[in-house]
Amino acid sequence: MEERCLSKELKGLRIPTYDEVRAAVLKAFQEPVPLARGVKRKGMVKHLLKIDRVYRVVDSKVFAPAEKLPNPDEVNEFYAEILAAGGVSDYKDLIWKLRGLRKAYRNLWREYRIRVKNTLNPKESNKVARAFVGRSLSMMRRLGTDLRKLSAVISELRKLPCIEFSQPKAVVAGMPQVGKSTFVRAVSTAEPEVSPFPFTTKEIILGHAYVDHQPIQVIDTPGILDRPFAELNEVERKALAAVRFLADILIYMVDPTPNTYYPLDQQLDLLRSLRSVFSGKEMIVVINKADAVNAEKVEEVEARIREVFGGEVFRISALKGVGLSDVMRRMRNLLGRS
Amino acid sequence: MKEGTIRAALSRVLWTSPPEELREYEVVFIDRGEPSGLSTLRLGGEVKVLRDRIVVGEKIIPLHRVLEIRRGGEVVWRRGA
Repeated sequence: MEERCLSKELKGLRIPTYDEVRAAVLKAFQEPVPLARGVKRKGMVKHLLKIDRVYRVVDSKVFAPAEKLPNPDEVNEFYAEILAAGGVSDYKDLIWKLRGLRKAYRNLWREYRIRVKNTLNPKESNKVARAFVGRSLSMMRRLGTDLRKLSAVISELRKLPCIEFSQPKAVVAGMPQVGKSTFVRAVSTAEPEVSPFPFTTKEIILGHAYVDHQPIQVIDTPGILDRPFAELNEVERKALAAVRFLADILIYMVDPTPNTYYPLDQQLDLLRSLRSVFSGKEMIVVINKADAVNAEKVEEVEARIREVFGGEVFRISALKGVGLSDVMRRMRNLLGRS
Repeated sequence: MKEGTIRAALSRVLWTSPPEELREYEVVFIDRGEPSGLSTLRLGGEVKVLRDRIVVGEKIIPLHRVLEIRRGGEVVWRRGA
């Protein structure tokens, strides 16, 4: 069964800013209303139709798109964490506020319809209708910051790939510039950008791979630095969210070459902290760029890794495609067992 | 200095200044590894300006991350100036 894909659902969804809503509302109110010659009480009917128009504009531009966003209770923890990393920590409040206001606004509209109907002359209807427009706009003005936040939510969610949560997922993690994107590029359908400087990957990228006809999702993450949680920036929090909520298997990649951006000690420190935080997860350590150093160096690095990590260690070269199938098959076996 | 692309500015610095003068120049660039998000690098030694990056010794900096070029603390080029 196809799972819901948020980024596809949110395609084309746009929340306007306060100024856009204001312009649309005023335009709707000013445009003339065509009425048949035989209509009685034209002044009243005209204003009645105008406030209906204003109501429809506001409801369709602001409240209807908000309704399409995922229910806060059903949102996957991963999405919640991504939103928090993007600066929207009160997603739940935001959504419930807007859904509540939709009802309140509907009631307001109904109240003003009755009031317009009860007016005695066109001048009075005009006054009541204008009052409705004023109240609508001040409601929107108070919502201004929330609308901006909602736009941010949508753009954050839209950037994410379509992850099938029930299917096996392998997350590739490691320090910057160790070759995570090169690996994902080599083994899966994804084509992340690869470049010779650190911090190239800024988003979570998903690729599909098949091992012995079994699907596996390989997820590329931005490089993680070993520092306390409070000091992490948005990009690193995203990477950690992927490790935490998506990884059925964690592939930790190590760069053994002597002139790396981050020395081996730091890489091992990060491995140690990931190991302690995510102790329940299956983990594989992969020594990338194994062809770039001599055999003794690889042995030495592997021995160092063994001090920290008891599981399996693979040697690969993602660039040249050496040893990749062993890693993939092992991943498949581990996933088959769980 | 006249406005222009970062590459033109860097090339001009590189071609017009002798090595000892080159050392007075610094570039400020975006660096996610730093807590502040920015770091500075002093030019000098072997500097190469390629199509999309500069190479200073071992370090490679993509041009799209360079924000400023400074000479002795004074800004001589700034992105979007």
